Formats: sequence, C-alpha cells, structure tokens
Amino acid sequence: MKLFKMQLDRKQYHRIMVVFAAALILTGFFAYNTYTEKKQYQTFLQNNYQRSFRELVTNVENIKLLLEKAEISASPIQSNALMSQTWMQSYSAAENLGQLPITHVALSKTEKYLNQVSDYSYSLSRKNAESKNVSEKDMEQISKLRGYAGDLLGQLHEMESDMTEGKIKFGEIRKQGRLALRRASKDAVEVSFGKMEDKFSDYPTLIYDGPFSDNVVEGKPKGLEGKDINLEEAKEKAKKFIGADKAGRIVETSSGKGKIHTFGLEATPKDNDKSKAINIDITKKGGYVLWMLNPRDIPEKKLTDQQASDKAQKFLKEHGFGELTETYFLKNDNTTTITFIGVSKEGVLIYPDLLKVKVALDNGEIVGFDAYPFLMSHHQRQIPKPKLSEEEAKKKVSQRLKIERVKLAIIPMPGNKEQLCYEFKGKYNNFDYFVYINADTGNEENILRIIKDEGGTLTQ
Amino acid sequence: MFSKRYKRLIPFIVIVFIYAGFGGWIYSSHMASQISDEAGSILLKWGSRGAEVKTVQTKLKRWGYYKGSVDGIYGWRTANSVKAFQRKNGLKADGIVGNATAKALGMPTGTATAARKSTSRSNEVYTLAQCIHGEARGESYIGQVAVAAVILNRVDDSRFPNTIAGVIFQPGAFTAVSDGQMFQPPGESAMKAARDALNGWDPSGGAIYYYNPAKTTNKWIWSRPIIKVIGKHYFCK
Repeated sequence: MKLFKMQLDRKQYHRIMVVFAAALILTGFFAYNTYTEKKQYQTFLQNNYQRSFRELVTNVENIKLLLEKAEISASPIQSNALMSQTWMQSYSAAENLGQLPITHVALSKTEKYLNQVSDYSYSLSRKNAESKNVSEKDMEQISKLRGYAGDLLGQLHEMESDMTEGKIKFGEIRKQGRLALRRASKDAVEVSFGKMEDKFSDYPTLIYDGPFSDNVVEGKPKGLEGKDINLEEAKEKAKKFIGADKAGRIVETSSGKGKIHTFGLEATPKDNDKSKAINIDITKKGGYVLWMLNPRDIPEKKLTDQQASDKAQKFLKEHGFGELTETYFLKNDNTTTITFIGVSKEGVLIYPDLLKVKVALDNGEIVGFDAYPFLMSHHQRQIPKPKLSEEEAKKKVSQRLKIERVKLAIIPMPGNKEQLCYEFKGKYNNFDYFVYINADTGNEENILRIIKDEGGTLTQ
Repeated sequence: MFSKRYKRLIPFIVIVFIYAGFGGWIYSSHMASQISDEAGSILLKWGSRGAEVKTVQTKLKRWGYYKGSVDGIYGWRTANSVKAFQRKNGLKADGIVGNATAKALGMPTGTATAARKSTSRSNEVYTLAQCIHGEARGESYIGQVAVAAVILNRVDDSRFPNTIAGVIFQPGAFTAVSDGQMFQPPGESAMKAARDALNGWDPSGGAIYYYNPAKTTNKWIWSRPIIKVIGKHYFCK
C-alpha cells in the first residue's frame, strides 16, 4: 500500500487507466468478433438443416401424390414412370432425413419406411418395364404406403409450423453452452419425431419380390451343417486352421451372437507374443471357420500372382473346400486377396458361394480368410437345365458388346434368390463387361462393368 | 487524498484484470485445442497397440533407449524409453508419442501420409479410415476393422443413409465426427482396417451399433442386444 501511495501521482494514474481501457476495448473487440463469427456459422448450419428439412417435406409431398396417382393408373407404361419417380423421391427423402441433427433412435423407423418405399417402387417399376401390370396385392401395398405417407406428411407439416413459430430450432441443438435451452429444443424436435415414430411402429412388414434390404440381412445361413460344438472343440479347429506353431495359446476373446453365432478366439504363439496375435471366429454350429485375420506387418513383396494363387489353392484344398475357382485378385499392403467362387461338376459358376483368402506376399502365409458369404449360401444345389440355348441367349445381348466368352452361372438375385444365367464376358470401348441373360426367360438380369483398380485384376 | 481514491479503484481494477485474464484464457485454450488436435494425428500412449508402436520400439531399440521386446504394445518400458528419448531431444518428456516426437523419431507424420494416400487410394477408403482413426485409434486392429464394418453394415441397412459418407456424416452418429477429431490424416493401421472391411471382413458379427460402456450416457443404447465385445467397444444389433 505504501508503495503505491508513494509512486502513483495523478499522471501515472491516468497512464494506467489508459492501458486498462485499451485492454478492455481490445478484449471487447475480440469477443465481438468471435461472437459474430459464431453467429455466422450457426446461421449457416441452421440454413443447411432447414434446407434438408424442407426438401424432405417436398419429397414426402411428392411421394404421396405419386402413390395416389399410381393407385388409379392402369397402364404399365404410366405406372412405370410413376414408380421411377417415387423411387427417386423416396431415395432423396431418406438422404435428407439423414442430414437432420436428430438422434438416430427417433428416426430409424421413418428412415426405414422411406427406404422401403424406395425399394418397393424400384421393384414395381422393373415389373412394369416387363409390361406387366401391378397386381391386386401390390395395389394394396401401395395404398398402405400412401396412407403412411399421409401420416408422415401431417407430422412434418406440424413440425414446420412449430419451426416458423420458433418453437423448434435445429441450430440450437448443435449449440454448446446454454445447456437448458439446448436440452429443451432437442426434446421438442425429438418428441415431434418420436410421435411420428409411434405411428410407424405398427406398420406391417412388406412382402414383395423386390430388393428388400432386410431380407438379405435376415436370411438364415444355409452352409452350416452339423452339431453345435463347445469351446474346446472350437479351439482345436482354430489350431488346425492356423497351424500349431502359430497357435500355441488360444483364448476366447469376443464370442458373438450375430447372424452366425461364433466363438471369437485369439491365438498367440507359445511365447505369448501378443504382437503376433491372430483373430479367428469359429461357428458354434458345425465348427466352421467364419473368418480369420492376421494383422502382422508384411514388409516386402516377393511372390508373384501365380505363386500367391497356388498358395491359396493349396490352403483351401488342405482345409477340405470343394471345387472353387478364382475370380478376382486385389493387391494392397503387400498382400493379395483372392476371391473364390464355387463351381459345379458341370462347370457352372456359383457366384453366391463366395469366399476370400488373403496371402502375404513375403512368405506366402495365409493372413486372412473370410467365408461369410459362402457359409450363408452354400448348400447342395440342383443345377437346373437352361431353357434357352446359348445361341438364343446371345441374341439378347447388345450388338455393341464384343463377346469373348460364355459360361453358365448362378447369380444371386434380389430377395435372396438365385437364378441360372448365361454369363457373357465382352469388351466395349476398351472396358470389360459382364452381361447376365436369364437362362429361362432371356431377360437381361444384370450388367457389370469391371472397374480396373490399380491393385485389382480379374482372373477369368 | 490519493490513497482514498486508490482504494475506491481497487474493485474496478480487479474486475478489469479478471476480465482481461478471462479473455486471454479463452483465447489460449482455443489455441491449445488447435495444437492438441494437430498432435492427435499420431498419438501413441500407454496401452496403444499395433504396427506404429512397433515402429517406435524398433527405432528406440536401435538407438539404445529401449531394452524390451518389440511386441507392438505400449507398456511402461516403452513409455519410459520414450520419455528418455524426449528428454535427450529437448521435447516435453510426457512419454506420449505425438506429432513432434514422431517427427523426431523420423516416423512419417500424419500430413505426409495424407498427401501420399489421397492421391493413390479411392476416396471411400480414405473417408472410412478417417472415421476409424477418430473413433477407434486406441483399439486393437480387429477392433478397428469391426468399427469400419459397422459403418458398412449401416450403409446396407434400410434404417440408415445409403452411402458411406451419408452414414459417417449423419449428425450425431459418431463422436469423432461431431467433435472434428475425424479430420486428421488416418494412420496406416486405420487405412489397412478400412480396406479389410471393404473387402468383406466383419469381426462385429453384423452389428450396426457400438458403444463404449465407460463413456456413453445414452440409455437407449444399453437396451440393444449385444452381439460382441471387442476391446472397449460393445457391438450390438
């Protein structure tokens, strides 16, 4: 105190005040700058959300209108056009919904509904394209879906008016800080959407022959035969698969209750060197290897494609896999991942029976294995005789394609089905194409263009 | 007379100090967060595992800082040797390999990796790897592949957006995206994991959610049936 009393005269006092004032102004300026900047971002974000939301409303309005029209359309051509538009609108609606800052829980059913409309309209438009009219059953589905579109639209309009009244602000949700406000507005949005979800909870599962995404997911594995095994047996299987030298110690780490129930095991060499750990999942039923990954470092590339392929083939033979043929090579991280598919005795390619083997290019060790698609679909198949001859099928292929070879193949179809097709491999504009012609009806079921990746090679 | 005036001014001066100090603190913490973001592109610490840890161990061993085995696990031995290395090289001896330490060790730091990768790999792998890196860089390799698989399972699921970018950038879906941690160049291990997942490997058993039970506050997620537990993450349907 004494010190100040001695030193501060009027002049010094003024000087200090000036410094303080300057500091105050500077911080004030800085705070103001930050504030306006923040405000700008917030507005920008808010606008983005608004755009998504408004586009969503427009999409749903269009979906409702299109489905209404579809109900009274009688010609396949008209219906085809309507369904294609519905497909486009519902796809875009689902995308816009995904942009909104609302937790997934509140939205999942709405998203599912939109994706179903999308899939369903797509499958109907394909049906129409074959000049087939929409069946009575389909009509019922359409009117059901239209009903839900109406409900959804009602809810969305309610939200829209809440928004214009300022009850709901999307931007507020993102805002950090003012917690109470944030929570309140978040609740408002979620309640609104939650209400919508309740309405959707009782809508039926649609049954149709289209690409219903759940169908694929819920399909039962066909490739699992035999009795359930216990942990000890699973460890034994794993040891056999990996090799006793690399699997000195096996512990259960992450057993799974997914689509296929598994024992999740981790194998380490005898010295318990964790860095050499290999993960492997063995199915509970039948004790098959579902997948295996050995993430070790592979410092160099010594093996050729042919050598890698030989290693993989030998490995598969040793582990009792039947007739398989390679379709694709993918090289990265000094490994080659080889895709194998099934082949019947008659030489028909079976695309659903797919498995992958990853070969390390330094010493040819198998460092990865994935049999998920194989185990999901492999079963004893009766390969049907094609109704169309190869010549007849050839006529259905575009003249532009320079056909190089033809094979019979079973390909997976939407809705977990399989179809015997003629596979035409050909060239157009220097690109490789696969064209699949239905061996029974002559329909062009699929066209694949082979994308030449820097590391990918087609082997057939 | 003067001392009286001075006394009156005390509260005022104190307020100004607090105010200025507060502003400065906000500014510096803002800068600090930017710096720590940068350091995050390579971040190895106690408990980390994988190829990058191995690289660190190999280098430290070669230079005589590290005596243990090159096992890819960041334990106390590794941490101690990193500290020793940092002290010798005038870095902050915190035992954590951030960007500066990684640079001193002669490891490819994030930015260099990024420039190389983005030109030679497809966009999808890179985006996916960024998300894995942000979400699960402390997890084992299998844990990283599983997180990538969850993203891909969502793309196929009708309740989620239909593209990889759509799923990753869905508001609130991933913490690493919400807090911006994702926007760092992914490590080598994340890139590898992304490729394996895109190639079809799915250690998650078809899961579409995962959470860290120690961190989540979301009650709903607890009600989901758990498919698998890998490292710190619970994977569920």
